[in-house]
Amino acid sequence: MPFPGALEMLGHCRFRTPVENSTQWRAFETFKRMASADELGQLQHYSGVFIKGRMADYVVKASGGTVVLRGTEVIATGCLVLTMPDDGTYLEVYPGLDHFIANYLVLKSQERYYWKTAILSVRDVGQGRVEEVRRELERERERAGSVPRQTWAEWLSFTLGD
Amino acid sequence: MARHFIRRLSSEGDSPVAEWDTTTVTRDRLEEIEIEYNRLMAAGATPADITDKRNELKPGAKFDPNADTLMIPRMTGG
Repeated sequence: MPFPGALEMLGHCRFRTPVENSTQWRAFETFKRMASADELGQLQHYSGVFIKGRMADYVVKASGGTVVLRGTEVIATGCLVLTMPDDGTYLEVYPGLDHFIANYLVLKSQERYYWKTAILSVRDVGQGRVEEVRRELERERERAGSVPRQTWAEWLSFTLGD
Repeated sequence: MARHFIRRLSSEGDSPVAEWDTTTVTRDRLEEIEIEYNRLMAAGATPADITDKRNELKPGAKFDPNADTLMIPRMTGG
C-alpha cells in the first residue's frame, strides 16, 4: 500500500473515464483486464497507480509519466515512452493510457530496465538517493558478475536531469 | 474451452492481433499466429504475459499459445 499522501501528490487531476470506443477507452479496457480492483480504484480516483518496487517506489500517472519515491521522498520524475509504431505514424499517436500501461508493466516486472532506459529528472533533494540506487544496482551487478563492467557502465548511462 | 489472444498497444489504443481456442485451433492457424507474433517481435515489440493478471514483461520470449499476450512497442526514455 502507498504511504499516506503518495497518490495525493498527483494533485487534483481527476481521471475521466474515456468516451466509449475511443482510443483511450480501448487502452482503459486493456488495463481493466490487467489491474487489481485496488489498482483500478487508484487510477480512477487519483489518475495514477502506486507500485512498490525493489529499488524505489513509483506512482505511474495516467498521462504516462512516473514519480519516483524513496521512503516518503520524491527523488525524481521519470519518463519512458513508446516509440514510433511500425505502421509509420508518429510518436504522439499513442493514447496516454498506452504509455501508462507500458510504464506499469515495466515497473511491475522489469524495474531494472526502467532504470536503464527511462530518462530521470532528478530533484535536488533526490540526487543523493538516485546515486544510492545506482550504487545498489552496480553492486548487485558485480555480485552477479555475468556482464563485463564496461557493459554495465553503458547500462547505467541514463540521463540525469540538470 | 480455453480462449487466448494476442493484442498490441497501437495508435488505436489496443488492437487485436489474434484470438484462438486452444481446444479447437488448428496447427496451421497456430503457425500463422506465431509468424505474426515473430513479426511484431522483429519490429521491436516486447511481449507481456497478462494471463490471469500475471502482468509480466517477457523480453525475447517465444510464442506461448496458452497465454494471453499484450505486445508492447519499443520503448525509449522520453
